[in-house]
Order: sequence, then structure tokens, then C-alpha cells
Amino acid sequence: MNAKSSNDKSTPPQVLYGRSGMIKQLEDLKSSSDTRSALIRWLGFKVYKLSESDLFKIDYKKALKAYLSSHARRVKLIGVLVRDTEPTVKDLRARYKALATNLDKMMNLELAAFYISVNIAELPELMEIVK
Amino acid sequence: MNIDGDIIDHEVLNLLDESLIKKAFDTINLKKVSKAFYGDESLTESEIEAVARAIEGLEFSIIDLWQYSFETGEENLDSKTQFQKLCFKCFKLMNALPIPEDKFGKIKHILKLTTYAYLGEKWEDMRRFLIERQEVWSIDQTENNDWDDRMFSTIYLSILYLVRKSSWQDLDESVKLINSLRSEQSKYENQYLNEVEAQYKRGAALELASLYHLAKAVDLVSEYMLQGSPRDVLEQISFHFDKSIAYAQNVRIVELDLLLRMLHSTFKKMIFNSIRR
Repeated sequence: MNAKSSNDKSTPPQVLYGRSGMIKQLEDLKSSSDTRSALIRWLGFKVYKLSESDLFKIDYKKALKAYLSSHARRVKLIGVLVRDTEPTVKDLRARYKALATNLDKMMNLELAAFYISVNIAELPELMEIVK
Repeated sequence: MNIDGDIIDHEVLNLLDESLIKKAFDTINLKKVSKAFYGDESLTESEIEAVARAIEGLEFSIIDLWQYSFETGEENLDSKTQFQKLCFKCFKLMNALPIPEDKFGKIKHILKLTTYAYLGEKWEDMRRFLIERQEVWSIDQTENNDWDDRMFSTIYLSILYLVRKSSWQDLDESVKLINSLRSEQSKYENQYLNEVEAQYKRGAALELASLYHLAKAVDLVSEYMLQGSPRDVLEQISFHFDKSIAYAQNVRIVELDLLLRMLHSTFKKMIFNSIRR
């Protein structure tokens, strides 16, 4: 899963974190089994200390079982875009089409956009992420 | 599950296709015989793929057992033994794979190999590899002017000298390399950040911050190996790895994040193995 935010007033949005945007990262996850594997191992490091009854750990192991039994193909790619602009389907439509092309039949793709009424730069503070 | 002659029963391991694991070990064991008789140990593409998939499966199990890597309590010793055995098996499989030719692929491969050697209690095998095959792991830094690349490559070399430690000179070399980064920072850093496209500046700066903390952790381990100080080296490297991982997470460099977690445990193991404790 990949979540990005943008307050760029032009469409489609430019995504600014790191060296690649959300779509590029989803493309990599779609096409590269090494990238998918790295992300799942990263998730593994997030859950290994949790108790066996923790819901996140239960879900992780269930997903891992599906992934391994499908020879590393059964995955769901989820992209979430958060914007503080006027909603428009243009933000996602072309990208969804491009990503859906040649998608492995065992993979699932879901892109979502959330349009919020506050300035995105203020969001971390509003959500008390930044003290 | 039977893993190359060892019966290991673990939940995540049991999700794997046993025939896939068997095939991978059969392949590499056969190649050893083939090498002894014919001098040929090369793997076909499909064999490489099979071995890589087996490694991936074992790694999921290893990560699930990661919390037991430094376990000392009696009640979890079985889990610790499983962890060590799986790390060794992973090392054995990885060691049979061809080393990637591209620089970053090679660096990641060899650092991972180092981790599994240490955590699988086979560090002397890794050391022998570094002594005997310098032409394989060395990299050319002379024309490397990109600061992030230069830092990462220098840190890699410094770690390998630390692992090889065939003489005090290797430890000195490890320290020198990290010190060279301090003197080069003023020469390369500004130029690098100025050349990065505006949209990637934040990510580039956070990546550098992550690498600076990794360099400091390597420096601390080198100093400890040379001088036996600082006495609180474990706490100090944990501080720097926590920072380094936090920056890598912030910029979402998953592979760096994974590498840092593995190196943190590798360094802890190096320190525990050190005669000074």
C-alpha cells in the first residue's frame, strides 16, 4: 500500500517524496517481484514483535500464506492520494488505466483519492502527528 | 520441515513449498560436487530463480524469529537455535548465487551475506571469502562524485574491512574510510544537494541523514574493535541505527530500511563476538 499527498494546484499532481512518486512505486511493485518481496520483508520486521493474537500480525500471516502459495503473485496494490484541491477524476483515471494494463491476473489494484477541506501542510499538526 | 538435513518446525517455514526448498539445496549441493570434479559451479537461470525463491521463503521465517536472535533465556533457546540454523542455511544458498555485477546489487548482496554469516554463526566463512576474493567484492571509487553513492560505497568498504580484519591494518583502513567521509563532506555535499531536482531535495537530504548515522555506527564499532571503547558501544550504535532507520522510513527507502535492520544485528553480533567483552 502506498499513500501520498499533494497540494500542487495543477493536475495531475506531482508527488514529491523520495526519489519516486506513488505511481512509480506502484509500477515497481507491479512489475518487480524483488520489490514486492522487499516490502513484505519490511512488513515482517514491523510485526515480528507483536503478539500472535494481534490483529495486524494475524492479517500479515494470512496475507503471507496467500502470497507464498501463489508463487509471489497474489497481492493487492493500493494507492491512496490525499489532496486539498477540487476533486477531479483526472487525478487517478489515466494512471489507473496505465497500471491496470498487463496486470497479473492474480493481482488486484485499487487507487483512491481523498480530498480534504484543510490545507494539506497543516494536516500533520491537525492530526497531532507533529507536536 | 527438512531443510538441507536439519528438521526445523516453524509456523512461517511450514507455509513454504518443501519441494522448492529441497530443490534449491539439491541444486547447490550438486554444484559443489560438480565444482570438485569439473571445476564448474555455474547455475542456470532457472536454478538461480529457484535458489532465490528458496532464500526469500527462508527470510520470511528468519524475520519472524528475529526477536530471538540475541535471546539468552532458556525458554526461547529452541527459537534462537532455529533462527541461527535458518540464517546459516540462507548464507549457504546466497553464497552459491552469482554476485550481481551492478554496484548497488553487489553491495546489497554482500552486506546481506555478511549478516547471514554472522547471525548464522559462520562469520569465519565470510571472513575467508573476503580474504580470498577481494577482486569480487571490491569497488572502484576513483570517479565516484555523487555524494550519496560515494557515502554508501565507502561505508560498504569500511564494513568489509571491519569483517575481514585479517590484520590491524584492516581495522585502520575501516577507520580511515569513515574519516575520509568527514573530509569529503564539504567537497561533495552541497554540490550534490544543489544538483538534485527540487522535488527530490527533501528525500535526498533525509537519505544522507540516514547514511550519516550509519557511518557513525560503523565508526563506533571500528573504534571499539581497535581500542575497546566506548564501553557503551551497544547503546551508542542502537541510538544511531534508530535515527538512521527513522530517516530511511521517513523517505520510504524500503531496501535501505531493511539493510539497516540487518546491519544493526550484525554489528551487535560483532561486538558480542569481540574478545574485549
